[in-house]
Amino acid sequence: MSGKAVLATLKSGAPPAPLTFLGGRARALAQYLALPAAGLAIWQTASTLGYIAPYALPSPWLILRTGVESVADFSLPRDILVSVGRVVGGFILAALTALALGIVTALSTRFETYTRCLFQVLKPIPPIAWIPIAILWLGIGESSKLFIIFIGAFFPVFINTVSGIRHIDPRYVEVARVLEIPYGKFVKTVVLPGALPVILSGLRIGLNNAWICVVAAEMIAATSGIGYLLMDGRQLAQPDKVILAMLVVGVIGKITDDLVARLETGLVRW
Amino acid sequence: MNGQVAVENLNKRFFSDSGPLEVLSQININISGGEFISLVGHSGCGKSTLLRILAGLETEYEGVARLDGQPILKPSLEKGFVFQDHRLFPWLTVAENIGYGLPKGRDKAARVAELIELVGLTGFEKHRPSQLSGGMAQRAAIARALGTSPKVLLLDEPFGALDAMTRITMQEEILKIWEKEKVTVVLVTHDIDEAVYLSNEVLVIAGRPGQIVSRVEVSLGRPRDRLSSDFNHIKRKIYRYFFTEVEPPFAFSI
Repeated sequence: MSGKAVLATLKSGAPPAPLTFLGGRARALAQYLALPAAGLAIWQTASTLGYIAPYALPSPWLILRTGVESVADFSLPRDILVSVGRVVGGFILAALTALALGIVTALSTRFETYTRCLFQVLKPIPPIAWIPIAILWLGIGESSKLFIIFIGAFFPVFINTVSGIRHIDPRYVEVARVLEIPYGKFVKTVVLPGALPVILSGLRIGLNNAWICVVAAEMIAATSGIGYLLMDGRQLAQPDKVILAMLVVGVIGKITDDLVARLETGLVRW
Repeated sequence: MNGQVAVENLNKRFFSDSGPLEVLSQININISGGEFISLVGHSGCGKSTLLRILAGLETEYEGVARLDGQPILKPSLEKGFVFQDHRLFPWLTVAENIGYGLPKGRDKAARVAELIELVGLTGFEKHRPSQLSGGMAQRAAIARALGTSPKVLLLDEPFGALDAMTRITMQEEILKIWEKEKVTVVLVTHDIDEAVYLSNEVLVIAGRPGQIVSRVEVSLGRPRDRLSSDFNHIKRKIYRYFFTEVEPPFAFSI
């Protein structure tokens, strides 16, 4: 039983009724979409009846039309591609660095002692606060965006890698001692698999942060990307463009999070 | 030398915030190679600590513990250890867990197959620990400990978490393995029946700090009958150290 099913059983005293193939699936999907659909309906109705001023909040229909137009002239797909490319680049860079540093930090007390203070000070600085320095140092090109994404994605991966490895079950350490397992083999076969669930959830938070950071970075200094689309909409007083960009950010963020969650269940099968 | 275990004048104390705590006092043990010995006592009497000292997992104590005359200073492959919780790695299969301590080589797969057969897990090689019952997981843990052919097998309440039925099956299994592998076994248990059924000698540990208050030799033939009067006579001898005896009430019917 999944955790969710267990909770449902606890609450109602009986296990949830098994879902029949079509009926159950369709019902679950309907429940899943009910709230956003109702919101859209109310929003559209209120707009049509003139209760909402279009300059403050354009109707869903208008936003959809803007969306279709910007897909037709390839501007939206291009912006999405640019942002996703930046996220992928910055995230991979951050994840690899954070994994390597995290493993070293967790396994070497000396390295940890020397670096702890620096990381403790750097950690609370929000990625957005790095933007001025990033522009000053790296200009408004690609590298400054990658830098901001790197900062945002690095710490969650780093922190989870360290704590995942540090909290390895000491009982497994005893097993390894009794079996005279060499250190390298122990790290490879026990420490890393044991820490994997925590590391994966760090990667998930890191990716989420990377996505937040790309929008922030593009809003301040960029000529392309979703964040730029958003700022462009503001400057041209086109709220439909602004809201379209926000919705795109939300939907893509949800999709990537789902993908990583699927990767998690695929990798952690015990 | 063949798995002879000796403990001489051993004292062990733990240090905590509330001061030192004496755990074991004046322990002397001599086990010949190939014997099956049980350590019986209440929980907290120090019997598991004694076993961990024999394994080399605890090294801060007074006195000497030896295996075949050599002082025990750290864990090694000569000392197989089975924990109360099976401690199999959840991300490895049964076969990978059992072969975990074995050196890489051509005969590794054959050795793993042999061990799986020995503990009766044939057909479960590819299963993960989460798919096994408690008894099966403990069998795999025993196979893992036996893999490197230790001179002494140290069992720390290995069947404590199993139900009564499975426990009896596992006791039969461990006897079979002991007879086949001719290894010295030291078993820690709080189950007096288990101790008398399995061992050549039962060491009764009691008091605080724990001391060996009695050494009860079990000179019964094998297989043993748990319901025989001889068996129960020995059990009663050990019971006396832990529980006050109950006089059966005088009653008769017409």
